[in-house]
Amino acid sequence: MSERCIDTETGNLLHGYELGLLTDDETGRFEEHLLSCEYCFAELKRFEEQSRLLQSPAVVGVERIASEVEAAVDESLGERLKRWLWPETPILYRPALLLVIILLLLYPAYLGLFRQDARLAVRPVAELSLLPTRSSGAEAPVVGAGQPVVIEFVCYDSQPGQPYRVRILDERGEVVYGIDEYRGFDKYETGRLLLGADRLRPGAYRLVVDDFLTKPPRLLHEYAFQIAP
Amino acid sequence: MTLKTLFDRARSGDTAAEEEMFAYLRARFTFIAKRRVREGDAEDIAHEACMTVLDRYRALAPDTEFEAWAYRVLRNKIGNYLRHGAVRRRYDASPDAPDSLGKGRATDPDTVLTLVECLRRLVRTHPRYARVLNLHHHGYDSEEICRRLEISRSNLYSMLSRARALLTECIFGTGDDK
Repeated sequence: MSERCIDTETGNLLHGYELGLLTDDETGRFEEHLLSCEYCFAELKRFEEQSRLLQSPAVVGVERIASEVEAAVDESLGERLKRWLWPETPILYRPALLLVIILLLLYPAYLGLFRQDARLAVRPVAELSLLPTRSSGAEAPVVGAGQPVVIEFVCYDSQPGQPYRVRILDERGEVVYGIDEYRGFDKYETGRLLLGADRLRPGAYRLVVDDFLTKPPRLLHEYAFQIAP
Repeated sequence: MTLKTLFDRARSGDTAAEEEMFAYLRARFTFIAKRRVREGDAEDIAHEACMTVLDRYRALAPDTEFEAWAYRVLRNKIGNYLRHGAVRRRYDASPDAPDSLGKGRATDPDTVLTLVECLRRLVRTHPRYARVLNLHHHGYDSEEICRRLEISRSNLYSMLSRARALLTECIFGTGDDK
């Protein structure tokens, strides 16, 4: 027997021919091919009984398998999920099943898992935009106490990545906040600080920026602001 | 030996090749005819077609495709048979008419069990094959099957070829001694 089909394109129609799926033209083409292809003819003879069974709905097993797969393929994801969540049960059991589902959903709340951590709660943040005191004739900006504050300050001639000493001094000149090597100035010569709500008490403050690289550090700019009660 | 070779030898006077060609064609003609008419009539039709081929093949023009011509001879014989009304009424009422596959023919239980088992294995990885079978069982033709599966006809036949290869491997094994 030949080990391969002499015309694979036509030979591809073999199983379609066995199942009776070919058009009249395709059937004619394949049957003519059978006259010269020993491989396909031998294959048809070998599988003759099985192909007859596959075409026969009287073979219940074949049809049932095909129907099971058809049902599984056609079942949508939503239907499968629904079937999984709400299995077929006697109607008397369904209220109990529903109660179990509700209790399972409420259990995390019972454990307090959904309780909001006060520390993580989102609070409003105040903003302060400062300009050097010498270059601004406006009054010192004011922000209310008891909330986090973002202080944005413009420092002319600052360089990104270069260290500077940044301090916040109160009315008595005492340092209430300081960073010895602040490197946060961006290319727009603007620096930013985030201070917690309880960091600064009500009062007047000065933010001072020194050039850290000079000895002693040289004052670059000074900014004034107030924290209102 | 291929049909073309047998034909060439038979035309040149090789009687052994002619006999072999007759047997070769008869087996295939019978197989094809059985798909359209009942088995007993299929053998008669195949025999008549073979006789016609043997009577006329020497007179064929040199450029005639022998396989195509032989197939046309068979098709004409089948067509004449089916158009013969009295015969149709007889075979339609026959319990082993070709449109009643499975009736009048004993089914080997082992063959069925093996086929079903292999089919179950196959459809786990090739569910489309089972869908094709199911749709075909419900009377859909290949065009409708392709439309429902959203594949082309060539893809359908390729898929069927692959599935058949797996099915035969499961049923008959990978050895070539079966």
